[in-house]
Amino acid sequence: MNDLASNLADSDPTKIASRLMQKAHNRDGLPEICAGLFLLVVAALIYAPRMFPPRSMAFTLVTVAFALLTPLMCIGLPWAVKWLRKRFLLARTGYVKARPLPLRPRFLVILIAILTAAVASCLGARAHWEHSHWTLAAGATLWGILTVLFGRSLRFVVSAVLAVAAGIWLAQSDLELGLAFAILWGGLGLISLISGTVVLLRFLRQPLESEEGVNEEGAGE
Amino acid sequence: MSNKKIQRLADIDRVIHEPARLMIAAILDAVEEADFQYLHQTTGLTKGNLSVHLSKLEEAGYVAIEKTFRGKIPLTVCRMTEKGREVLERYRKVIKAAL
Repeated sequence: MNDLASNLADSDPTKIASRLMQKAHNRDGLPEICAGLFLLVVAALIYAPRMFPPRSMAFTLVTVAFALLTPLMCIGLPWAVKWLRKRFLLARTGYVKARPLPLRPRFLVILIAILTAAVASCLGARAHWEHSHWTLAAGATLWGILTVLFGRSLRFVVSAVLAVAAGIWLAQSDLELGLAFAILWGGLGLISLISGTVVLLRFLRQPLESEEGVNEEGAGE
Repeated sequence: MSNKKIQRLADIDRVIHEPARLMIAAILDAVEEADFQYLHQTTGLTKGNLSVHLSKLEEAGYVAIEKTFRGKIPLTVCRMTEKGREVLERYRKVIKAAL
């Protein structure tokens, strides 16, 4: 039995239950796989314009793809995770529907963090101010914070530490900023993809339990 | 601490007070609805235990249970009733005040 009941007197049970729900959400590795795919696509789209001359057709296509694909993936990937779970993993993961939440401060903080990261990335990519390379470290740190906040398990902490270390290392390197960003997001995407795939494979190897034979045991009060 | 606060402990709801049922109620209170498999994995209770405790919560009117299907997969969907949420909230207040 987990520690929910013993913590109930001095903790908010809703917070504990939400934490458990978050853990369950990441149990099958699908969100990590999606995050990894997203980062790999972003890295590819950051790197791609460097391969084509400015104002060429290919350059314009890549720029438009970046502008369209990024928000589309933000909407589409969570939907894909839901669909895959419902279609293939329901018997293993179980079904849970979250309560409709009002716009709470936590979500505002996350939104501000994402916007800050986006603005910092744009500024870093365009401006040539003295410390522009440190936007890499800032971006990696924000990613790390979000990872730990949503992940709530050891593998996410390790991933966050790696992200921050990579961000700082790249910030101190002499690499061109856009290339460094592509390397950072590409590397983090690859780690996330591999980690998520391993978790998914391990999850699928677990024996499937059915609801049959449920009434064999007593309540044991 | 006042005597009244301690004495209120005698009135706490015994159905919700049992640790396993408290755990189930706290989880269901935090979500809109959840199925048996999710509760089994989250609470760590055996399926037999979970089933019996869910039945007791249902008998008390704190949890509504609906047996349904998602495609070919049977789902036992549980959700906290308004009465259940009120009882849990009252329970939390009494425990917090007393401890």
